[in-house]
Amino acid sequence: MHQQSFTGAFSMSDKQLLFAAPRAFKGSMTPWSLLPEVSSTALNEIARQLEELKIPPSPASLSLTSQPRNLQESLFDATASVKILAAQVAMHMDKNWREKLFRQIDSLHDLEEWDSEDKPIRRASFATFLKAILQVKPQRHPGLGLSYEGYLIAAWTLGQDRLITEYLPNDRVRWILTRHIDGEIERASGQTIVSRLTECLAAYQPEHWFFDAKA
Amino acid sequence: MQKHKKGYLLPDDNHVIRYVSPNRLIKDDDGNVLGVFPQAFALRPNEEAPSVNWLEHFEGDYDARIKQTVHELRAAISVKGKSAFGVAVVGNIKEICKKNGTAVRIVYDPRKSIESHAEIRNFPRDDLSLLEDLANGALCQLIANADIE
Repeated sequence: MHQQSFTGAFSMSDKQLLFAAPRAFKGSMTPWSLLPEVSSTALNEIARQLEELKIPPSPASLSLTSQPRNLQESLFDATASVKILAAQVAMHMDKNWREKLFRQIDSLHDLEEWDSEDKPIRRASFATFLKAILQVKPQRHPGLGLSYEGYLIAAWTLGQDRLITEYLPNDRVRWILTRHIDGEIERASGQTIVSRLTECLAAYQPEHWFFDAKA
Repeated sequence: MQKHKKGYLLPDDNHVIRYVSPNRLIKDDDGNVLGVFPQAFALRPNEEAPSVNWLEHFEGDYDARIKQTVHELRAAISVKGKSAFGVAVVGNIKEICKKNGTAVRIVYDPRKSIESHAEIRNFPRDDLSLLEDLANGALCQLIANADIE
């Protein structure tokens, strides 16, 4: 149903991008069901924005014809899936941050650098990450990585201080930090839900990581 | 090349390296590596003990041993261009694990194509505090794969 509205509006690569997403969501839960009713015009706009944010393939990756097709497909589908989720809340993110996030997703799913034991980003993990980011609204954006389970992990580092967060399904967040305060090294860790993350971190002055000092 | 039997306990003052794939590296906006995520030390899906490589298995000075170890790994596994290698002192790893309530043994465990292979035995599967302490405190050097010939 959604696919028809795209016909004729895009090049082949655009179509591949858009058609890949529904294929990734076979089953009872589709990405669209998680989101407010979206018109085809809005979807066209999202697709256009996604196209703008796509990074051209590197020359090295073009030579990777020996990679299994199913891996390429699963990375492609996972990339489309999480970018569509991000695009749905793009109005709450500044353009630079959105572009950086999309580049980071492309980098995490870079076929040339892909570890055979990795799993693509789980959509439920990415949804938790987006909720956390939209709640905290950090000025400084984290370095991103992936756990072996496909959960997104994020790191804010400042000197020797670091805050690591891991985004689990169902709004769960695991966090661990090292903070130097008044000559003492403090370490703390925990697991909570997104809505309580800032409260859990409050004792360790998380603005230290999230915001520029001069702000 | 040192000859030791499988199961040899590595001396505390020796070094091991851990291969860190690109998605476990913390990078800045320009792709420069700032450190490793705790998950770099997590057990891989099919691992029962974290794999490391024993530097002193090879002859030569520190740099020569690093190079030989990396070359052996490159020949045996798919080392990614943007990956890195974390170097740690055996005794430091054991000490950090001990502080986190785990007495590990770092044991020489040669494989057919990776003779320098060793492993950290009795390692817990999902202890985030231990993983973070190792990631943030055990490494004496983090070397980008691209920086090794």
